[in-house]
Amino acid sequence: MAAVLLKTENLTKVFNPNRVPVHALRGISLTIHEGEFVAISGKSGCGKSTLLSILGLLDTPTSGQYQLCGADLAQLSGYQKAALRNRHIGWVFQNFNLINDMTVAENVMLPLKYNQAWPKSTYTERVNKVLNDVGLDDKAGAYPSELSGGQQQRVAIARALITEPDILLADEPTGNLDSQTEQAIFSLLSDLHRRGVTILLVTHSRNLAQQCQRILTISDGTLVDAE
Amino acid sequence: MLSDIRYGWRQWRQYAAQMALLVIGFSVFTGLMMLCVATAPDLFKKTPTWVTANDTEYVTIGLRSHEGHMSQTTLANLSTVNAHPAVKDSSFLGTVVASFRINDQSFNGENVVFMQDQLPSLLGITAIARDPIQFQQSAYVSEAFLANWQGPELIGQTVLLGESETPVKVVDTIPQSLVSQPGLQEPVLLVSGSHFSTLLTVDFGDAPLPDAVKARARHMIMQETPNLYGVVTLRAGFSSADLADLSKGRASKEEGISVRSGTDSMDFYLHQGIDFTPHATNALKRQWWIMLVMCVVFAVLNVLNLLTLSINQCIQRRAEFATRVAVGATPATIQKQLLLEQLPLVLTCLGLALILTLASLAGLVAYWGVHIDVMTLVLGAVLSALVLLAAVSLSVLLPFSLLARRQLFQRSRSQEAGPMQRRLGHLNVVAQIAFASLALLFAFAMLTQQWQLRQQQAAAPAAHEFSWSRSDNVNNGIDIKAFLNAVDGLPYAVAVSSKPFANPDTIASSVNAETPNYDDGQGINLISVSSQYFDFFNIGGGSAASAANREGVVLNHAALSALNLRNSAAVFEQRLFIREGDELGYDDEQPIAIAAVVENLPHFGFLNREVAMIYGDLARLHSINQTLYLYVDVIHAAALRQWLQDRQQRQGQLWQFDDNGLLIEQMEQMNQDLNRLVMVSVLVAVLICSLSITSLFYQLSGLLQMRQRRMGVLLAVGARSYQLFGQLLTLLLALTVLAMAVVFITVTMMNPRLSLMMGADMLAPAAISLMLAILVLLLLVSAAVAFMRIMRRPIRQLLQ
Ligand SMILES: Nc1ncnc2c1ncn2[C@@H]1O[C@H](COP(=O)(O)OP(=O)(O)OP(=O)(O)O)[C@@H](O)[C@H]1O
Ligand SMILES: [Mg+2]
Repeated sequence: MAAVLLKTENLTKVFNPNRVPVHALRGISLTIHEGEFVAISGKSGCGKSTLLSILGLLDTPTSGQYQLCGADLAQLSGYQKAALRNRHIGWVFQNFNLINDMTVAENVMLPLKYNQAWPKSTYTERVNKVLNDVGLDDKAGAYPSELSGGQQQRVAIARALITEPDILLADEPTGNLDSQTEQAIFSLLSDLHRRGVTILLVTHSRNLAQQCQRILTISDGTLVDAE
Repeated sequence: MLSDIRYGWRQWRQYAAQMALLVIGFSVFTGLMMLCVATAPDLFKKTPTWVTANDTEYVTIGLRSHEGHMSQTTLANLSTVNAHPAVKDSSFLGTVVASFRINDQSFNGENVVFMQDQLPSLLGITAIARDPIQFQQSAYVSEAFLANWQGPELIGQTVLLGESETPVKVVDTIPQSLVSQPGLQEPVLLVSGSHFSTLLTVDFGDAPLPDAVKARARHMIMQETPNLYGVVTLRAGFSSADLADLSKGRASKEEGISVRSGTDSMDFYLHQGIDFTPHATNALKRQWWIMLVMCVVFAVLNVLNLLTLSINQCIQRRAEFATRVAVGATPATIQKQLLLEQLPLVLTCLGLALILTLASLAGLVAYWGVHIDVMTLVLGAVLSALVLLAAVSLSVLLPFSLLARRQLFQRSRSQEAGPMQRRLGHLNVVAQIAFASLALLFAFAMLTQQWQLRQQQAAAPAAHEFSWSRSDNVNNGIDIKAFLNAVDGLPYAVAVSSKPFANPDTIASSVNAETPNYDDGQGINLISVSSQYFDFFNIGGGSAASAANREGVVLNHAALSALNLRNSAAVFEQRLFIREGDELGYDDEQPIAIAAVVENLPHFGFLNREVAMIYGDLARLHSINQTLYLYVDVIHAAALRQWLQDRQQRQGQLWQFDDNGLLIEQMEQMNQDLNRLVMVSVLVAVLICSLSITSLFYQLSGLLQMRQRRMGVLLAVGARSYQLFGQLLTLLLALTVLAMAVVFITVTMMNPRLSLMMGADMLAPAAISLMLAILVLLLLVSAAVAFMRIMRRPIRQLLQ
């Protein structure tokens, strides 16, 4: 059995605790091992994105424990979390979240700027490598607005991969794309998985979810069945 | 439409703090603007507003006094002017200190205005009888006199004028238009000019003169005493320049009675239009310009603030605009909606401004003595409203059209602001920093000045000031030598000077070393002082100066540096040429030796810089037509007062001494004026500064909001918050440097004028360093708060 990559215990998240409280997560306990390809599915509003952003350190849980790469998140400072995000986590968003006034290469390079592990001289080489991986080596100088949705999402994936993270978190990466592009992006993810990247994928598509190793279904903030 | 306004109101409530700022800023602006517009016609029309005819037809005639003001002229001079071919018609208006009697009550030494019979019709003063005979039998009293009058109904009473007790009848109060003429010093009574000679008080002593001689003397005195201003109308085709060839004043000698006007050396003062105190009017105009500048400052500041708000709104409402376009709105309809949304703001501002203006009009205009009619006030309000609307439209529509032009509606998903909007935001921040620092610099310069004055005041000697002057003009002035000799004989030290110690209005003369080339000479103030002066005021280098100043002039350090001379032995080899040398008793073009150099005297109260001074020996002047000032230690004040009193009694009524009190009290008095000025300046500065800093804060928040998704991305890929804050500070630093460049260029340009006008030195190191310290603090705090407000949110939200 592969090593445990992340482990949560009874995670909860309550929005607006002072006004009308929204219980987005009601005690989620799960374990993800290295090398897994996990799909998270469920009805709209059930808490998928909330869970993913807590797992990806973009938000904090209201209560519960969360261990990532052996570190207990409750004990970490903001800067340590930033370092974890930088080294161990790669993010892919539904709306790509590229910076529009940076070129593709600059967007992809961005995480390296906050990471001392890679010497500056290797930046271009790395950028070329990951762009090659996602099949966009000819678009390095283009701006995001000059690319199609599918191409933009590949840039976002390249950006997520550039620091060689342990886990890739993707929140409906194909939500804005047609089914053909959806399949292309998914194959790219499967490729990465085959090369050893752990992937957590939120998706509405039954089809995609079934191609994953494991499906977590969430309903109203709780995990219904872990297959 | 109504729903747009209501929607706008809801929008405004979201931005309550910014709204409040805008209302304050716009109200101040509108108030100032209305005041400016309302006071302009009276101030800039050369004839008073109630005179309907053409400015260029009138010329006011007076005498040019030493200080360049217009002072009153004589009847003789006026008839010279009258003989000039350019003059069609002439008239005069003057004041005398006279005595009169009503019933059994006598009034002595009251200010009486007299005007020639045709003047009311010349000036269009309808409130005064136009029929000369009727006017000659009438008198008008001041409101104050009427209010204080105790006894039977004053209107209708008979007034007996002067010694000859010429009867006139009180018919009304003095017309407001005459009372508020700045030159006329609160007259108590207004009568026809035909009573001028009656009103003159002439003391013939006990000399047994025949009545005919007395009458002739009285007539000549009337001709030669400078008591009046002339107003002439010009013939068609002539201008005031045609009168310029009129000669200087004359002296006359007739039948053994010698009369000198004492103003013989003065030129005519010709002022186009009707204004008896053009100098005072100019001071008012200067204040008016300051007000206008303030008005523009607030206008720019307001537009910037509104711009901040609408840029921020535009970014936040992008999705709303996109939706509106999606359901069929055109950019034009959205622009209309945006404008309608501003109506609550505009109306609130106008309302508040109206209250503000009326309040300040009541105070300011009474103080200024400027006429305002309701129509100009309405005009002011309308103009202000138009400017306000223009400013609002500009600042609301500009960011929107930038948004529309970039066609961001179609891509409303993208939350990033366009580079144009960001640049606009940066520009705004630069302007706000510049405004804030200018305001701070000004406030600190004023405070520094006040602090320096306090120091000076502490150093002021414990001296008592008296003045000794002629109370009329029919004499040779004071015989200085005799007077100084008498003073020297006193058993205590008395310093004498030709100008007062506190706040003297000296002549700034062009002075040059080596050659009598006055064109590029420095303006240096001249004063004549007695030899004890420096010793008395305990000035460094004073003893030497006291001994030496009979040999030449004494310079202070400031004068030395103004002339680019160094304080060494070589300086005594220098010869000075002083254009107004005769002020100090030297001939034209006479080379003058420097006898000594003294420290800068502390006596120029309201100036913060040391004033360049040249002191001459009072004994060089044979006579002086003005006042002498005497200084004595407080313990001898009573003795000197007694001495002056005796002297006055011995020399007769024409001589007068005044007890001006302790110097320190005079300084305190000046200080109070300054305190008020400083308080107002600091208040205005604080207002401007808080307006711009608050607006800067919102603009920074807006800039961060524009970048919030970018910040979210950076945080998601592992950036640390201090790195982002560092980016913000770097941006802010760059903008601050830019703003400082603007500020220092501006200050360098306006500092000389400002230090002349207000005495505040904006380039004083103390003011600059205080300003920088406060500014940096304010910037850091507002940047940190704005940053924290964004960073408080979870990263997930930044990315949405
Ligand atoms: N910032 C917030 N404030 C208040 N409630 C929130 C907030 N973010 C999410 N929620 C609520 O939390 C619940 C879970 O939201 P979440 O975004 O995780 O759903 P989701 O499963 O990702 O849905 P979808 O499939 O539509 O993306 C929802 O009911 C939502 O209304
Ligand atoms: Mg979601």
